Amino acid sequence: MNEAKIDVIITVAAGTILLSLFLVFVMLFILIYRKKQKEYEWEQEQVKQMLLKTEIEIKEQTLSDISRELHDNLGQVASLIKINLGMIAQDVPKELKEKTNDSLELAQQLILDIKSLSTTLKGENLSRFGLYEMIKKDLQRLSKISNINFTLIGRDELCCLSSEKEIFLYRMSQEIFNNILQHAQASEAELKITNSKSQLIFIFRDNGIGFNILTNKKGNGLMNMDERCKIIDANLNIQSEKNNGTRITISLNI
Amino acid sequence: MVTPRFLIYISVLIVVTFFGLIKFKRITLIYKLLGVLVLFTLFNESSLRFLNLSNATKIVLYQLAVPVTLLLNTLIYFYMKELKKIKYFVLIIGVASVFVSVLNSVFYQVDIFPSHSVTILCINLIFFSLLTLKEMISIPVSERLFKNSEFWFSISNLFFYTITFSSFLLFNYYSDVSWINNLNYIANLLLYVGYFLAIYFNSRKYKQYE
Repeated sequence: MNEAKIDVIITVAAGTILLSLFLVFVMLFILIYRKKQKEYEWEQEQVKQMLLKTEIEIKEQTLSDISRELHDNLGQVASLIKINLGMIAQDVPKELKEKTNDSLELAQQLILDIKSLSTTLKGENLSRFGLYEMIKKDLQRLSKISNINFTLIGRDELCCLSSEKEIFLYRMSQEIFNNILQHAQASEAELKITNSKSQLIFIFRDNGIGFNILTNKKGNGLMNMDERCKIIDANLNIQSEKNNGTRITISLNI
Repeated sequence: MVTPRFLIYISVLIVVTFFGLIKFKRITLIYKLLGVLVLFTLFNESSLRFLNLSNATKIVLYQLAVPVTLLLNTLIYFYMKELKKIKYFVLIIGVASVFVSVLNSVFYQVDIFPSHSVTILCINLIFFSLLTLKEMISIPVSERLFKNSEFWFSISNLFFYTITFSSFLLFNYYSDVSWINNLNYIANLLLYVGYFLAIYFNSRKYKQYE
């Protein structure tokens, strides 16, 4: 073999080794980068969830404060108004009696509404009344103040849920009901709760105007709900079509 | 004589230059500088091939290409967000190397090319590329790696300048250098393909932020 040929062989071999080394380097880089990227995304997700959890805790605390204020302050004032009205009612002339009695009834209604709202806002009441009962109270209140007929289907024994999961589910239910009230233009809405040994499923349905999931998917409320579901390891499924109502399913392994 | 090999090379350069010019307003400063670098290379290579220049002028153009390439690349790495923490270190090393390469071309290897300046250029750019890739691993972003302009830019530079560095070492050893030239030619084409991808993905990212 002449010298030129040997040169060529050595050059090709050197080039091949160099290229192979480079390819190995690139592949290793890609693998390490992807691993780091996954770690980074996981950390970001954790931070996001922690922030959301803190936000929810602060919200719960604020709601609890408002609830206490409603019950202890406004509720007491309303009770005093009712007592005063009762005393006035005894002395007023006959022509004013009817109006005074109406005012007494309104004061009574105000006391009940404050009590009901205070109960709904206070998350701690969940441990007292249970999730099912709290949702039932909410739906009764919403049916009263709106033209929507809210129905709750399911058994009232929702066992094995941690207080954290209960509060998340309760607040998500409230958000969904509020959305139905504000945007759905529905006449009927229902929540069906299915509770098996291993799974708890909440199905919210309404016969309202629906919405386009693709365009609304990044809306703040839905994103928040998705994040909250992730925190409690629940799955969220939203099905909706324009003028065809909405169906939201939250399923949770227990 | 214009060979098909050179025509392919110059076509690639023209495509990348025009693409850079078309997207010039829609790319970040780093890739604007990269566009200028490719434009300079196109101008330099065309002058060397198409103008009837004397050998002395050709050598000057070859010698000039090294500090300009090094300076523009230094500026690119200086502005790169991955090297933000050490950007002045990059700038000092880059500018010092430009200075050394100019001194070498003016006083020591006036009529010689490839000169030691090429070696300096290669070492600098391999070092900067490795630094960028290392920093990319330290602070990853959620964007897909293959859509990351900095990845394409750095990996192309690393590939090309490693090949160039090795080839010039081999140049001194072997008498028949055609194979080395071929290897270098392919690496050069791949460098500009990498630059094209870097500019392309940067312009797309810019579009997303609009």
